[in-house]
Amino acid sequence: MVRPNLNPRLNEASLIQALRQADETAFRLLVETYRNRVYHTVLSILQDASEAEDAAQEVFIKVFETIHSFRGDAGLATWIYRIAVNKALDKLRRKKRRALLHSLLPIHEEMQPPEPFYHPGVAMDKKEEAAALFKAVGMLSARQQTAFTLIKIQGMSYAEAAYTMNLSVKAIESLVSRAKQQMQKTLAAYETARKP
Amino acid sequence: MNTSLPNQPLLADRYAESIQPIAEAATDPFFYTRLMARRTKTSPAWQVPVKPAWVIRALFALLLANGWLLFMNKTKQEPGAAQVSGITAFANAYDLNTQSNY
Repeated sequence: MVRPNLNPRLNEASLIQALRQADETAFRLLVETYRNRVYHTVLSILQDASEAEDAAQEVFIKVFETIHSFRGDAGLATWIYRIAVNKALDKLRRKKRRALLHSLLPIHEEMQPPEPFYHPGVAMDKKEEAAALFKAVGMLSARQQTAFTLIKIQGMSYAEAAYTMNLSVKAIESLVSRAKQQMQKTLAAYETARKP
Repeated sequence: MNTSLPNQPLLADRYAESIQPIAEAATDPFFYTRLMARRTKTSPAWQVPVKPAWVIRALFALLLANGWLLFMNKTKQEPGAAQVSGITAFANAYDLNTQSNY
């Protein structure tokens, strides 16, 4: 896990201490240190910029409100990361439930096909491939989608993903393996379509 | 079921590797301002629980309370023999019988 570039005058322990005392300067420092990483993670999972910003805000509010329950058995960055992933997973589940409900209801006139997601961090010449990959990822179940994104897109280790998602390493391996099998068909169709 | 050829990476692996490295996506500069606005937004002292689980629990509790009240009313309407004799004795003691009209 990447360590945060904390202000050298305020190490992690004193930052936590200050946050527990509801110190606004400490909160600002926390947000400035982690905001991009949190946003990047939730954006990769949710594939929607406005939902990702919403989720990132909720993550920091939750961190501020629950810092008293932080026991310190993992680093602060890992703990924040865990909150972020679980927040994104919750939102993703709700989004998929809504989509399912919408598809079951007899009202279809306003349904639009989802816009392709272009991740802002992907190089220009890889945008189309990335969009195809994200589309295939978006068709997975919420847990498969999260596990695949953490491991294959974010570059997390299986152990870190297991801790973050509160699952065993074996469960994560199984989720990623099934995700890859399911994406094979979608990506093969994309490959066939783009061949001249 | 694996649909790829043996020793050939799955397309998902190939695509995920090909789009690397992914630069970190950044929030806009007003993220903190918006976050603070949201955090300081006053919330009401109490909120109606709208989660389905709580609504179902509340309805179940209401049904139980309703059933209990019905049961209690029913038992009150059927007084025992001892109670009847007690009321009759009281009426007799104070001469409250309907026959005692002057």
